[in-house]
Amino acid sequence: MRQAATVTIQAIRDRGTRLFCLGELPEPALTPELALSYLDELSTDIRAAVLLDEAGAAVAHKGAAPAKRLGALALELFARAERAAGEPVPQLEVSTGAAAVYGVREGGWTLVVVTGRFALSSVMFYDLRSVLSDLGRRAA
Amino acid sequence: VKERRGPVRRVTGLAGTVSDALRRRQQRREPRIVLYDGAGHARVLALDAPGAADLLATAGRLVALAAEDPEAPPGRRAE
Repeated sequence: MRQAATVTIQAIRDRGTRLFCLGELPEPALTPELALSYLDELSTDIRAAVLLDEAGAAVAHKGAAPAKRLGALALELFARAERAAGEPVPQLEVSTGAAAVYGVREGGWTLVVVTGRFALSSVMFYDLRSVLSDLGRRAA
Repeated sequence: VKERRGPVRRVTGLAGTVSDALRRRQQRREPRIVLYDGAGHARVLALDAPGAADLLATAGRLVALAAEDPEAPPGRRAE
């Protein structure tokens, strides 16, 4: 004797619809532009930001400054930091006195931001790493 | 037991607080370079170390670029 469906889930089963998704769920679509917008919302201290991919191309930026010039200076900053340290530098902080520059490299991405001088480095690095960690699932 | 502070100690305590605040403010205005290695260990690069001046110069150019307002008329760039 067949039982009548009494709840929605039983009705779905009766129609032969799978209850579980057997395939992989799609990755959240965090684009580089969205990542920088998210970062911009996290911190009001950020004056400019640039995100570079593995090839060193600026894929997103925030602020009025041209992305290409920001990107070129961001790469130069890391190159000079590595020359000064004599080893790879995945993270740096340079305070000029009037403002500060923070940079993080992870998963092929390079993210550099310019902030006011009162930005807290620990909070800034946490935000930068969070964004890069979310982006890390995408190929840089 | 609450320590009773005389007027002299109160004044010196206040002066110390003000001087500490000024010192912290001054420190924030001084250039500073911190580089991290792969393990996350921080290393403060001395300002007279080789490469430090170049690094500061590049950071300064980044800061200047971020402060530029392309819509501002020439000679009136925002800070």
